[in-house]
Amino acid sequence: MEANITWFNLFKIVVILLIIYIFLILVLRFLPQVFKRKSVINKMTILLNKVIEIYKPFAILLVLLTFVSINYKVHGVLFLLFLIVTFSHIKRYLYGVLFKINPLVNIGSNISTGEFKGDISKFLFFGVIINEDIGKRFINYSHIDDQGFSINQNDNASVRRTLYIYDHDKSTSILDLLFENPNVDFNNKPIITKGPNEKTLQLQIALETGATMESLIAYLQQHNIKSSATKN
Amino acid sequence: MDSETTIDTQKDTLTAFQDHLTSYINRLNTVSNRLELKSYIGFEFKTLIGRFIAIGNETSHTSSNPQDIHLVNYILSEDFKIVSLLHRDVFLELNKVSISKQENQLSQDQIVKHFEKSKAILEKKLEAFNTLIFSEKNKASNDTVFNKKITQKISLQENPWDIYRSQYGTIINQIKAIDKQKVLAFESIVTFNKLKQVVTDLTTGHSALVDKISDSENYILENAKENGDIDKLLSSVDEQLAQQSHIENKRNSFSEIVNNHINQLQKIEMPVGAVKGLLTIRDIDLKKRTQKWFDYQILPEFMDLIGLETNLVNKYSLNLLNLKNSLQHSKEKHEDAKFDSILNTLSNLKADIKAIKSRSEIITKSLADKVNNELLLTNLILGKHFLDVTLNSSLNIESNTLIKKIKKNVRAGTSYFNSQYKKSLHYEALSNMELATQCIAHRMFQDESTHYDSLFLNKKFIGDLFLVPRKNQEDKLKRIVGHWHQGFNKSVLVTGDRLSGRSTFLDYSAKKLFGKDNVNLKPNSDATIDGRKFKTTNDLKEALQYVKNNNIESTRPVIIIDDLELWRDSKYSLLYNIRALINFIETESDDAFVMASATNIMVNHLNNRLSFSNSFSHIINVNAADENEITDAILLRHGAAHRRLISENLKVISENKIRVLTHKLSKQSSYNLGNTLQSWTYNTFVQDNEYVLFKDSYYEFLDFFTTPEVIILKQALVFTSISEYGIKNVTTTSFDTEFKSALRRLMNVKVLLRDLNGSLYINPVVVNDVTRIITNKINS
Repeated sequence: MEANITWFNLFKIVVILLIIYIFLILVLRFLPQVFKRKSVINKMTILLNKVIEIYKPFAILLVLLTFVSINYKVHGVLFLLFLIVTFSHIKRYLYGVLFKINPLVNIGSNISTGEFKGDISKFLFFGVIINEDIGKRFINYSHIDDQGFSINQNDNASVRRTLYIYDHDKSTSILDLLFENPNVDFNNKPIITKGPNEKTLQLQIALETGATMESLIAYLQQHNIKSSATKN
Repeated sequence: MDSETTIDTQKDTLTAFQDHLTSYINRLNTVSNRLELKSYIGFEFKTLIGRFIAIGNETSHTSSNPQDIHLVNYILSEDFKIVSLLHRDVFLELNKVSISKQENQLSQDQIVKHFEKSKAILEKKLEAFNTLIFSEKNKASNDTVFNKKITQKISLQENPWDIYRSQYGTIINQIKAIDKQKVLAFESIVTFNKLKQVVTDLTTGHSALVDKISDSENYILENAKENGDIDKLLSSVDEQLAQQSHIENKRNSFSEIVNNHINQLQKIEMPVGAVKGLLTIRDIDLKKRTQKWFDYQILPEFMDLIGLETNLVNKYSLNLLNLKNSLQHSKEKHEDAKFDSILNTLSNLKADIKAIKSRSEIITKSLADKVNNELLLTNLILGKHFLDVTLNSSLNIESNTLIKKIKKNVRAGTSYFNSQYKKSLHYEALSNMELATQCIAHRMFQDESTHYDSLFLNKKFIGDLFLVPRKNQEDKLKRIVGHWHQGFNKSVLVTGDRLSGRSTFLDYSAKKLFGKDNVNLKPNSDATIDGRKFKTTNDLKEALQYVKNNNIESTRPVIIIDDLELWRDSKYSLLYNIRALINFIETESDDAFVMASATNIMVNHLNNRLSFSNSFSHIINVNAADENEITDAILLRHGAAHRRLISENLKVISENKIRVLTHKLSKQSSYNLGNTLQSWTYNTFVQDNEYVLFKDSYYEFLDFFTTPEVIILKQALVFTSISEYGIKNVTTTSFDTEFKSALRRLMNVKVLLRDLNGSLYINPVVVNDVTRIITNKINS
């Protein structure tokens, strides 16, 4: 037997979905009353935001399907027309949902996709706005999906840099000295190489966030090791 | 022949009835007033009906002549029913007249007219009935064709007499009921009159009081105007005051009297008219109805009246008092009384009295109108509104409270909602740093439970009494030592986070497995090997050399080096000492069993520079203890305190519940033994008596560190203790710009503490939280 769906049923479904949505929002607002630990609240907030993000297209889809099943011939045609006209937008929107629930992505994270790179400043329905050097740029979610993206955890993330050292025979003691220095990021182990016919040693090194090469040079200087960030 | 005789007797009875009817009509003619008519109907008509029923019964036998049956049971019955109904209705109307007369709603003239018309209509109908009997009788005796028809008709139909008879019975009962309800109505009218009297008494009492006040006020006013005798005036004022002093509680007495009367009322089923022969009855609970009517119509106005009265009396008393005071004053001072102001107020009072009088007159009038026009049974019997409380007035009062209730609830709900919402916002506004500070403050808070806490916090507690063996790790160590004794080269590195019990494990297991043959190496202290004491410096190489040189191969001692990170100063770097240790292990581990301990973070750091952990043949991680071991450790210490644990609602916590709590705590501190013991002390509070209160704390330590702080804390985690000098050495140029203030901030929030030697270490209450945060940060 076919379920007979009326306009009133559609209305009921819309009301129920709205109530659920409001309930979710309220739960989000009242999390601090329920949980006492901020870390738990933060986790729950992220989780609930994702749930709401997924809930929205689900609810819209449900409403549309109910609408179609009221009179599937007429409304089905309307629905198909609607799909055809707005297909790209729907695609973008759904890509956006997936993009937004990605744990890497947050407002403020530095993203590079295709030829664009910048900080995320706002999520919109069909795209994201990033702050570039020249200004704000709107990027389609479908573009991000096509091109892929990478998130740069920190702007000043530890990149390996090269330090030129003018003492030839102190490589062990230099590494020992670096061992004592908390500025050095040992996740990227420092390496000392000596090129052929070179008078200088090359120290490949990564520094912790917030540390400067100048202070490291000064540190080595304290131990009578001359170094320079530039080759000369 | 038989039928013949019956016809004769039948004829006789019908004739007798006719005679009776004629005499009935004649006697009716002689009736001269309404009461006589009533009793005439009450008694004589009843006998008439009785006679007719007797004839009807007689005729209804099947053996009777069909013509008679038709005559009596069909034709006469129908018409006699109309006669009876008419009688009943006349009786009802007469009753209604009686009731109305009782309430003085009718003039004598009206009553007489009504009586005459009633009598006339009865006479007319009875005459018509009489002639009908004659004509029908004649018809039946003459027309044979008609008779035949009737015989046929009756044989086909059922005799309707039974129904007619029951209808006559009903009519008689109705007449009785009408009479009975009249009695009830008369009783109610008496009560109504009493109620009216109460209201009238009240209004007259009120106007009397107002008049009295007005009179006495006039009297005083006149006396004062004449500048008469002060003493006389004073005495009259006193008299007045004395009279005023007892004001009875009119409101209560009023409702009491009213209720007394109302309680005498009862339910009434008043016949009020007839529609198509049926009697209409108004069924009303007079008691309830009157009560409600009084509550909604009379009481509010009565309250107004009382209000006016109280107002007036108060004002008057006040004026009298004033007057008395000023009179006494002038009497004492032997001055001429200055009456001007008093006169002024008195004349004001006069105006007030006038206003009140006019207002109270309106109220009194409306009260009287209501009582006189509405408290009437006449209204009831005439089918008018009877003591109706308009929906509006009752709705006004009730809906007001209902709406108010709803409004109040809604308001309370929204305000609760708002406050909760604001609370959430406020909570979120607390920064991580504030939370962390709260957390540290809570954990460092010292109350009188110091003794209790020390049971949990002391490292390597006195003797082995409080020691909980860590079975897994011990078994592993036993196997390793067994192999070593068999000639394998073995060495063990004990790792684990801070507070995880590395030192305790080392001490305890070394003593257990090697007895006295252990060499405990610590920087800048004494160590013993084979009974030979020697001093150690920060140079581990030297110490190990000494051990090597003095190691008699038969003893095969264990060499314990706890906290490797301590072997470090400006002259001998950590790496130098570690290299010496590795060298020693590589060469000597068949003759000496080396057990060293370092934090996980230190081991990782060393591995970055050397192949450190690979130099040891085995690594024992004591980071996570079994939760049952942790529970045992807590219960052991708690038991030693000889105190009972209670929850926040002051109930004693059972041992099973304690186990649940400790499991929870150990999970929170990721099964770190020392950390769990420590957090046990944050959550327990020693009470005055034999009890310890257990209270869950929800403070937590969150990441609030800036980048320079992370670097400093990284250093402090790796090397356990740091100093400003050391930090300055490694950060050099950026120390003054960034690290100096970062260090100070860390010390201010008490994440870093200073020990006796002046070096800084991470506050043990948060050291594991800091470890978690920093490792996450530097590994990301």
